[in-house]
Amino acid sequence: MGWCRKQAEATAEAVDVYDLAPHPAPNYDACHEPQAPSPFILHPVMSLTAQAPPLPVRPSAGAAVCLHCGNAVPRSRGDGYCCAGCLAVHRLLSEAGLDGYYQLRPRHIRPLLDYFERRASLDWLDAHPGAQAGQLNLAVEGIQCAACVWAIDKLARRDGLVRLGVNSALGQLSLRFDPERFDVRGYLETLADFGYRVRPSEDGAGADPSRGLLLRLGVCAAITLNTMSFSLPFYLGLSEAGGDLQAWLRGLSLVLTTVAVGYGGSYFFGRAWRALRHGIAHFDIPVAIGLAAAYAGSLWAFAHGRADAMYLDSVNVFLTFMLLGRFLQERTLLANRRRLLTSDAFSHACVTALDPQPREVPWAKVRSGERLLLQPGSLCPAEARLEGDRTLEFDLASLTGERQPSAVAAGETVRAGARLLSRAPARVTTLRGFDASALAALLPQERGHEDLPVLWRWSVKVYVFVVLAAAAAGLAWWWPHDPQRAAQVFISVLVVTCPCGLGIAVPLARTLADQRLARSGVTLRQPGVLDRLRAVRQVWLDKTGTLTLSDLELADGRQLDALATGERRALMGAAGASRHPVSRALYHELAARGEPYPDDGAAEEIPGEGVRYVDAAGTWFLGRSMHADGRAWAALSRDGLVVATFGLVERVLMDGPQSVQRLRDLGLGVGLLSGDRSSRVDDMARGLGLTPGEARAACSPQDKAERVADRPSLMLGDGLNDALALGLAVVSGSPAWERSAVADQSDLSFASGSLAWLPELFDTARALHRALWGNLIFAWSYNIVLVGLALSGRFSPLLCALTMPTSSLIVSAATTRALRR
Amino acid sequence: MNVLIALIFLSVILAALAVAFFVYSVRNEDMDHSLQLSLKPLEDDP
Repeated sequence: MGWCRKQAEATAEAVDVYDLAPHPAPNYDACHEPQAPSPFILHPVMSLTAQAPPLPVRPSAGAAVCLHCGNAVPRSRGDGYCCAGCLAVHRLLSEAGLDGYYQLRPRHIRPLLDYFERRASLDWLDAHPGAQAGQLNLAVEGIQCAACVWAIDKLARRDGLVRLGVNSALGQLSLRFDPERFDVRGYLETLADFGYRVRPSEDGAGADPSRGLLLRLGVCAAITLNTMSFSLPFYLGLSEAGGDLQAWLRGLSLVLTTVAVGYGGSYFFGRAWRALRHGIAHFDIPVAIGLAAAYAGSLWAFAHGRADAMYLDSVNVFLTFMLLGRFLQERTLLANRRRLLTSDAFSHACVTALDPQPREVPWAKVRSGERLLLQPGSLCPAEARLEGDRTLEFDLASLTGERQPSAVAAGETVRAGARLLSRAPARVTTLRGFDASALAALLPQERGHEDLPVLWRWSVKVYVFVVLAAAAAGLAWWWPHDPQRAAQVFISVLVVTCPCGLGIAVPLARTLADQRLARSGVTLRQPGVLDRLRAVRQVWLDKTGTLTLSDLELADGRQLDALATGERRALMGAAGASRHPVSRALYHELAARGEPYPDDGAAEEIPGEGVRYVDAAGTWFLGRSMHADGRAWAALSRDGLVVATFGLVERVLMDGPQSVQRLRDLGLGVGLLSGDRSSRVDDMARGLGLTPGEARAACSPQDKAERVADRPSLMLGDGLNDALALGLAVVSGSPAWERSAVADQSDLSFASGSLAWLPELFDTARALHRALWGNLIFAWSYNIVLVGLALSGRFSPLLCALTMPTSSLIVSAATTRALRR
Repeated sequence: MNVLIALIFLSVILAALAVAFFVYSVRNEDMDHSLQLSLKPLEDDP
């Protein structure tokens, strides 16, 4: 049994002590809010030792680089870590004796800013047939480098796993184990503690969809090398006339090429045929035409003994490069899909209906007048009246984007989208159905599928037409003079115009752009984002949760280290028993330091005031206050005497002013859209170097949407209140610490403690655009020259064997150079 | 000349063997876990 589960049970016992109201026992399994887990399972940081060892602390004066991730440490933290997540994982690695991690990791990895939101439920494991069969294929999020693979492997060996496969490129885990002897849940919980989020693979058996392409690529590459070596003697002077050797070399080349075209080429023929049947202009069509024409022409030349029209080695080179490009493309798409697993926060959202008997119902089926049971941490799906006789605390951050904890008395209205902060479940009666609620209007709509980028559509349509026209013209011109030469010209035009360079350069460019963005902490979640980005003229930024981290942060974490053991335990007991933002911030810092949750106390939350915690040492009280200007305090007292006070701050992303200036230098407008009050928005705008006219405060979701619709915009937002604006933006983005359907529908996700990734995104899009158009211009110039040669009858298989790989290498090198930072 | 033809056949057979090993390796999922396999030399002796 994992440490976390033990803690959950211990904490649940504590709940029973204080929660004497006649409510049913909380149903933890029915809590569907992974982005805001229940405090009862809010212990993502395990402790591998009973007593947390002292942490390696670097003095604040020299703490420029995070000890875990290697990124810059903000001034607000003086403990040598950029965030509590990095602190937690660094401590766990150290406790587990896995310090070798830091010898293997690159200089920078992604900071674990979303560590406390990363943990997902493992409820699916009980019903998964693989758990009983001892065979699991999982998608995993969080693998960044060889060090992660090493750590996951080491943890598996420590726990006695029989066989583990880690596909770091695609984020896949395959586990083979003895269900009787291996605690798979414990192992997966350990992975979650180390920051790796797992979910059953959506690809069924876990097979890599690009594996078929890899097989084709390998076979065709081997054949290509052999056919090239068989052609080499002829290029070096071996006479075509007579002899067994010539016949064998040509014959073997033809047989091998037939195998390559039949096996590797079938991929393109099948896709081109499907595209034609559906009337789609796809890049596979010219590829298939070029391949078929080159092979058929070479076959004809072989049958007629025309060595000057035999392009067998070129056919193979072309096919291999096309497969390589397609393999790169497939792998990039798969890796992007896996880098951020989707959230099930809203897409499968359910709530407990009480009548006629308790049952789970989807939000969409909630009707007016229905009695619901809200679990701690869950959202109220529709406007409802609070039943019973207790005052409970709710937060409207999901709707407004701002942290607004407020107490709701019995009989008062709970707004749709309000999240229950109190630890006691709430009974409510809906005043309207979900369809008519404010929440339904804010939920994001699924985006349609993207069209193919303009470059591809244009290439396919024009390219095919021009190629066929040129070949037909050559045939028509030469036929009256020399029918044999006419056929050779026809074939050579089709061969020379095979889109070899584009086929390899375009996927390569997209792969390099994706890797460049990944290094900045950006993950593209939808296709065509970098193409659409060129249309953007305005960047709109939400404030809370986007320019700031979603949670408050302790102003000085070293205060916790100065507390006595009993005081720290009491603080953990009180803070861990509440969902209030102030309590959560304290809890995260304590949990990151390995403070175990005490199992001998009882906590009671007093809405609007704080948490009372009683243990053997006395009666403790964690009071808290949040001011409208964003400042927050907490005070821990024992038997009425204040023991310690804590200041909490809203952490703003670093490099804001420089990033805004760089965006302006790129010709983009920048603005701030916030639902917060104007004094706070003005402060943030000044900090970013924005003018008062560029910042808009007290914006409703509709206000934000109107602004975004005014100009082609990139919108960054994090909550339901931003969903309308994000849906209207040309490009939308959400922070990785936001776990909701809003984030899942966004075009991109970012995980960085700095805003420097934003101008980098535009730089990358422009570099990609330059690379693609540069390649296209090169390809057309190259083709015009060589088609001219082919039409004049001067083209030869030797020239083709030289120019085709050379042109591909040139465009690949140019692409790499254009996208290298 | 016959020797050359024999050598060509030999090279084709060797290439076929290489392809067969490659296919076996891919089906054995070695390519999927290439990074994991590359870390094997770092392991301590049991």
